[in-house]
Amino acid sequence: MTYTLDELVINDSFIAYCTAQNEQDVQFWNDYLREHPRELITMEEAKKLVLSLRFMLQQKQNELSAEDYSTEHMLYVADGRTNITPALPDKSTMYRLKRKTIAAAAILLLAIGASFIYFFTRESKVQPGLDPGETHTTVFSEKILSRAGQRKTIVLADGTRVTLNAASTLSLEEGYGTANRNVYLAGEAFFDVAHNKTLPFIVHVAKYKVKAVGTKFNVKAYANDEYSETSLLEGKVQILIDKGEHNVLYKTLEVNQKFVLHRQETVTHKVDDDLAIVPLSFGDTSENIETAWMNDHLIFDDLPLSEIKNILERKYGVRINILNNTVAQCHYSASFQDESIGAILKALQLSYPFSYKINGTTITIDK
Amino acid sequence: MTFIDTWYNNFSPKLQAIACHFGYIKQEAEDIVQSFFLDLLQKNIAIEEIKNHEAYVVTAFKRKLIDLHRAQKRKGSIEEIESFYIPSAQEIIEELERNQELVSRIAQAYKKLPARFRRVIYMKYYQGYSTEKIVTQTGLSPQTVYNNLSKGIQHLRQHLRNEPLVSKLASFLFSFLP
Repeated sequence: MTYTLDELVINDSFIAYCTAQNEQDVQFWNDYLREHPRELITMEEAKKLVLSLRFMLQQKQNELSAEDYSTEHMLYVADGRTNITPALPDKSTMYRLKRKTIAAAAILLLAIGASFIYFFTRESKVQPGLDPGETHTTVFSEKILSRAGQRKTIVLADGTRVTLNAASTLSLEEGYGTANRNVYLAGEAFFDVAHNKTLPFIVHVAKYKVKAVGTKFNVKAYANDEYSETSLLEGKVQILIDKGEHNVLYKTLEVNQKFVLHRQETVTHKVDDDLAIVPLSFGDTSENIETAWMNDHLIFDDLPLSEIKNILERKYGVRINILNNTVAQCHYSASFQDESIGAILKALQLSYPFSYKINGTTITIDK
Repeated sequence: MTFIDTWYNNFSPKLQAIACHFGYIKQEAEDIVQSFFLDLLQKNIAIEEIKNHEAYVVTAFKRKLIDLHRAQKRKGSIEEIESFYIPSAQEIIEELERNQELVSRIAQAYKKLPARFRRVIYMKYYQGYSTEKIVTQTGLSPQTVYNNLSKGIQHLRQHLRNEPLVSKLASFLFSFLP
């Protein structure tokens, strides 16, 4: 018995074969082809259609998800996904709202149920989360957290290796590894992405996305840092900027380059973020500064104390208050390995003096 | 295991099928593929320079078919073998990345579908749900989900065919079938 083109396109096992996601499915369809060599052309046509459909939906969804009130958005969003519609609550919207509430409740219930399973099986939780700038709810299947002073290495289902720096959160979208490779990062992580061109790996951080196929790169996007950075060590990644209605391809990074986004928001007014591509920095021992944290190296390359404060807080799980603004703006260059926080502060004092008091986990710095 | 073993496991069914496409019977095709891989073992292949393994193997195999043809075991014309092109998964994605026109044509065809078809297609190809999962998510019967998917794909192909086709789209999506 052979399959028609239409049957192949909607066959789950065949779809898995097209994206090379499952060893058994690949084996099955290779055997099928060996048995029925005349089906080659039909299979190839079906494969093109499967890959094209997936590609188109992924691209259009990415473009549209940034649009707040797009009616077009509805075209792609299946019922049951929440959507914000700015309209007066007439009868029909009331009905829709109700349906939305039910849908949201269902998602929450699912999440709670799932979190129970995860709670007992591994150190991770499940919960629905909202990505800033997206109107639909992204359902996460897994959430990995690292506390201050902690570092974690995990291998994801597709073989991608992630090292999470201190005080960071990585969430995987539902269907990770089979339907998508979308991850959401708050904090810093190093990614060694398993190669799979049919399923791009996308890191979502505030204001932009990093799209990769198979490569090594570091993303630093802490909510309390002024700068958000993506550094490329190997391969290629694309930087997609969230721009109102679309994702705009900003640049494709070359090896040893980094993308830097300088947050320009102030309380009173909002200006455009400052974007730049700069070369990676290397220390004296030709060690790469952006990824030195992986080896427990702390390298400050002409950083103001106000930024060093954030790094130390995460690494040592302390709170640092800088009372004097001049001190906060002083720049330091230094490198440390396996030093206590006291030793680091003492060393920094040598190049530009300040005073500090340690009280439990709180450190106060003054002139 | 060498990379040739990996190639053999991954690509030999496709190579056999290509040989059959040009008129060899199954047994002949198997023999040709065997001897093709034996030839490869003799060669000094700079594996790290090969960017797309599948495309490399298929091209090398086409040369093998042309050699056989020249050696009077003729099956398929040389021009036919030369112009025979099956893009690898990687090449398909690269073509889609390059060709925005193509993607927007597919999007337009998709938008023309009735909502019930779009919904299941979205769930299957964007969210990656299996047919069973779509059944539990939507509350529709398995038969309805299957019918909607199947009809949806049929309509989609119909729309794509009926478009005033850009030649690139035509050659890309329907390069083999009438």
